[in-house]
Amino acid sequence: MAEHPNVESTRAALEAFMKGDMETMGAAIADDAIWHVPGSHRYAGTFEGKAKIMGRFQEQAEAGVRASFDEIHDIVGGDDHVVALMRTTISAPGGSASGNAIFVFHVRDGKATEFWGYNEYQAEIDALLS
Amino acid sequence: MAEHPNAALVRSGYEAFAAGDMGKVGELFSPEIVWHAPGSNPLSGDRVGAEAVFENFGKLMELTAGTFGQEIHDVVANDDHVVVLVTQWWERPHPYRGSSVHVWHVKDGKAVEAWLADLDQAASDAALTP
Repeated sequence: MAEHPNVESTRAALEAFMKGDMETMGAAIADDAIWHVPGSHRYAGTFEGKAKIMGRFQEQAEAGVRASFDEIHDIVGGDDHVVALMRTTISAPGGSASGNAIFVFHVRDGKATEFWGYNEYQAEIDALLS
Repeated sequence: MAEHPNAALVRSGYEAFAAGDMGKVGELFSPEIVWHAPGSNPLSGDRVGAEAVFENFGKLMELTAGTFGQEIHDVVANDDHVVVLVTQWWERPHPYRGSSVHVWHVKDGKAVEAWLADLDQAASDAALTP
């Protein structure tokens, strides 16, 4: 079956993030989006609105914390949700951690309105970023 | 777009599970199914083979004293993966309600691998530990 258009737009946004092209990635996020960043570290929490979401990416980058995608294993999606199966690395001045992650996006009119993240290696991320 | 046949297949498995029809659930499992349960609770860890997975289901029912329930929020699928967004709850050993992501690898109409993820893993670990 052909790839769902929501899968194509999510793939383009994730690839933009990988290249550091935050403008293209930002264009895929709805103005009233809600971002759920898992864990108990200082960048975790719920962020409401694109300005706060992008601000959080900026704050992380300024602190030398970087999320990179080692592999986009698969992207599965439908009319309402897109799920990306990922292998990610979080690097910080104190070290780095890698593992499997799942990104769940709620999509409306081609833009992400909500994000839920899951990291299989959450405890390592929490330790690194605490 | 029409639902992918793999999505319909997995949905039928959840319906059979809810109805307690484990015979039907078993028909959808490859005998060599590999099951990855997340976290650090009595159900966590890898299980290999349909028999071991059913043992884990039995343990879940025992641990939650029959109070386990789940409801599908959405199913997205392609030729390789089916992702189920699900809300789960139970009352015992400790009350819990939360969101999970179940990633199924489907091959030739059978589930060959399942990766489970609870979005708030710490909460489900605590609620499953007597």
